[in-house]
Amino acid sequence: MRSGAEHRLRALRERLAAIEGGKRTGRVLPFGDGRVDACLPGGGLPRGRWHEITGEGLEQETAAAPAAWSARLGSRLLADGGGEAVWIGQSEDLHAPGLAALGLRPIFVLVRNDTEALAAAEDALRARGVAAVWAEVAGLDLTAGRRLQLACEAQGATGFVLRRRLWARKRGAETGAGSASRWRIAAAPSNPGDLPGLGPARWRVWLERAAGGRPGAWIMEMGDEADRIRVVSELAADGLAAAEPSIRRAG
Amino acid sequence: MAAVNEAGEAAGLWRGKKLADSLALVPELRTADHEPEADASALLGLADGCVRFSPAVAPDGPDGLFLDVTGGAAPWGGEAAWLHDLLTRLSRAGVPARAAVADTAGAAWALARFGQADRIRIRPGAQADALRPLPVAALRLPPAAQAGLPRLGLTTVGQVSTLPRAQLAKRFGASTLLRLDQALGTADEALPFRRPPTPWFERLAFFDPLSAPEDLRRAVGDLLHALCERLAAEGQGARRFETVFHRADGCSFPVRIGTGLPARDPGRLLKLFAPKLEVVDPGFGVDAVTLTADRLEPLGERQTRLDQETDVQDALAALVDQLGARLGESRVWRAAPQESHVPERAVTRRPASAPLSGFGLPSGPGWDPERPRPMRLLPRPEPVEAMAAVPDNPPLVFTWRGRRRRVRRAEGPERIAEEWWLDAAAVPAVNRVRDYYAVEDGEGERFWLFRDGLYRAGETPRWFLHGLFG
Repeated sequence: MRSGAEHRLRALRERLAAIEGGKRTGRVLPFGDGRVDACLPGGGLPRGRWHEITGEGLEQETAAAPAAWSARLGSRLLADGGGEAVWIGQSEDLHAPGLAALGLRPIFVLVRNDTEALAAAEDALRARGVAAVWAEVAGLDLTAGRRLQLACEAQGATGFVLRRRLWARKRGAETGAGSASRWRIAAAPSNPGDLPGLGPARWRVWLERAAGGRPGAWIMEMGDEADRIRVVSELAADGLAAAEPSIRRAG
Repeated sequence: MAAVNEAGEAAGLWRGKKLADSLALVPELRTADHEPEADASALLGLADGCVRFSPAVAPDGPDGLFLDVTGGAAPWGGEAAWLHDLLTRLSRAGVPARAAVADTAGAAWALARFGQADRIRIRPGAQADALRPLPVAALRLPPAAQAGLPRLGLTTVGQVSTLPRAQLAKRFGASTLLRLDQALGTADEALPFRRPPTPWFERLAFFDPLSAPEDLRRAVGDLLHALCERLAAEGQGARRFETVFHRADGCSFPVRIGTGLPARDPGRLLKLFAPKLEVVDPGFGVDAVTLTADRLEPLGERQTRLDQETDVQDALAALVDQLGARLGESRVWRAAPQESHVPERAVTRRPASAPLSGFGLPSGPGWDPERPRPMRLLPRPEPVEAMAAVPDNPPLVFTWRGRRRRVRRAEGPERIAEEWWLDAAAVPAVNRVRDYYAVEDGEGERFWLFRDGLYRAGETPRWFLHGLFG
């Protein structure tokens, strides 16, 4: 009887997700690690939606860690299905060789303000052949969020909105209105083992909100070409890594 | 005196007369300094304004314009009406002018300056007769010939043209002969047109000037439609389009768009024009709109449904054009490696609509993956206070933007010599070397630091932060 109940529960969850998410493409990008995928509806990062990514502390301005983490994630998304990446920024500090090392060779678009950034993002998301779009903005309101979502649905492209507070500008609206998920990314100390130098980059990753899912926090690590991002361990509520740093492969 | 107005001429003054003499003759004479450069630029402005009458306009000397009207007067209902409109507009703009239409530029030049009337139009092939009574000055001859011919009793073009050609050339030079032939149409003349004459030109003129933005937009749409239809008929596409709004007050507003790939879809092109049309100031109204296509390339019939690849490429090109039109073409690019050691110069920008096979793909040539490069590169390296145990080692502690960070791990150095040979002003010096380190602080944040110059005893090394890995 237990399996029957589980089956019904899953069917109910799916219906609920369908109601919550509106028109859903159903395609996801799994992290390949049950601890993360269980928190996300459909068992992975929903594609054809947009995701909000913020940084912590000074990173709210420089947005290096959120950019690196999302670039690595996005490169997996492109590797799996092809298409172009478009990166829309308001400053020229994005360094193409660094991005290329993470596996991303996007079309760069330099805009002057949030309005231009969001308009450009909409156009890019609607264009055929574009699979993922990054937009660096200070904030966006509910209307802009809904418009982005409609643009994502046009071709099934995935959007990454990097919240970035440039030049001491006031931070925009706090709502991640309409996003499929909201993430907060910060750097984490790497672990090269006994080797000298730096180990693979690590991030503390908080999933703050996921439509149809539940929040979580993990430590993730930059993986190689095959898996791109590895989940190292779960993160305790206080931001410290849980004791066991076993490495599992993702994706 | 470089110029005299009508009132001055009536009082007996002429161009070239000495100012002192003129003042003696007309004490109330008002003068202004001669500004040849301002005159020249005003003439160029006038040339641009005349684009409504012809796509090909060439300034001539200090005070003349050539317009190529070949086949272009039809919208006015003939050359006579065209000429009338041209002169009416010029005089309304405060430019007194004379004009002539003839088969050759030379004949038109002569008739406009030495003809009996302000406006002259002669039948095709009739220039020889029309020129006969004109003085030899009408031939644009070299000064020596112009002075020498009257001395021989030859004062009119008719007399000169009956002379044996060989003798004329021997006596006054081949250029005299050439000028004569150019006026009569037996020799060609190349004019320095402001724009190359192009058949890819469309024009709309309005009896009532337009000022509503939607009307301007519709006008551009109509022009695009007409031009693109012709492009399609010839299997051509263009990569540059320029529309010029000619205002009733004589100003003109050019608006240009460019596409990465040749295009001829009026709907798409209008979309590219749309954001730029918003800033056009119609003033008291726009009474003519012209459209020119440039950089033509063959463009076959699209097989959109059959060829998925082309379709996607076209869609991307359309996106790039659209963003470029709205934001500025330099604001959309793909990054490509550039042969340079200095990180600031390691990236060059290429047009984003370049074919995807090259630098765009992850498989294309890239940067050396063995050298760590940051995610964010600061526009200029920011100085940091750093403490290193040994001057040759990465710092132990550094302070950036008011925050002190303890270095937990480090990698490096990667020694990069500045390319002093590219900078002529720089003196080659030993310390034009940067030692780069990738360091990680206690939180795991990663920075790209460098020490400026080689370590030398007794000097405090300077440290800079150049990038963030993230």
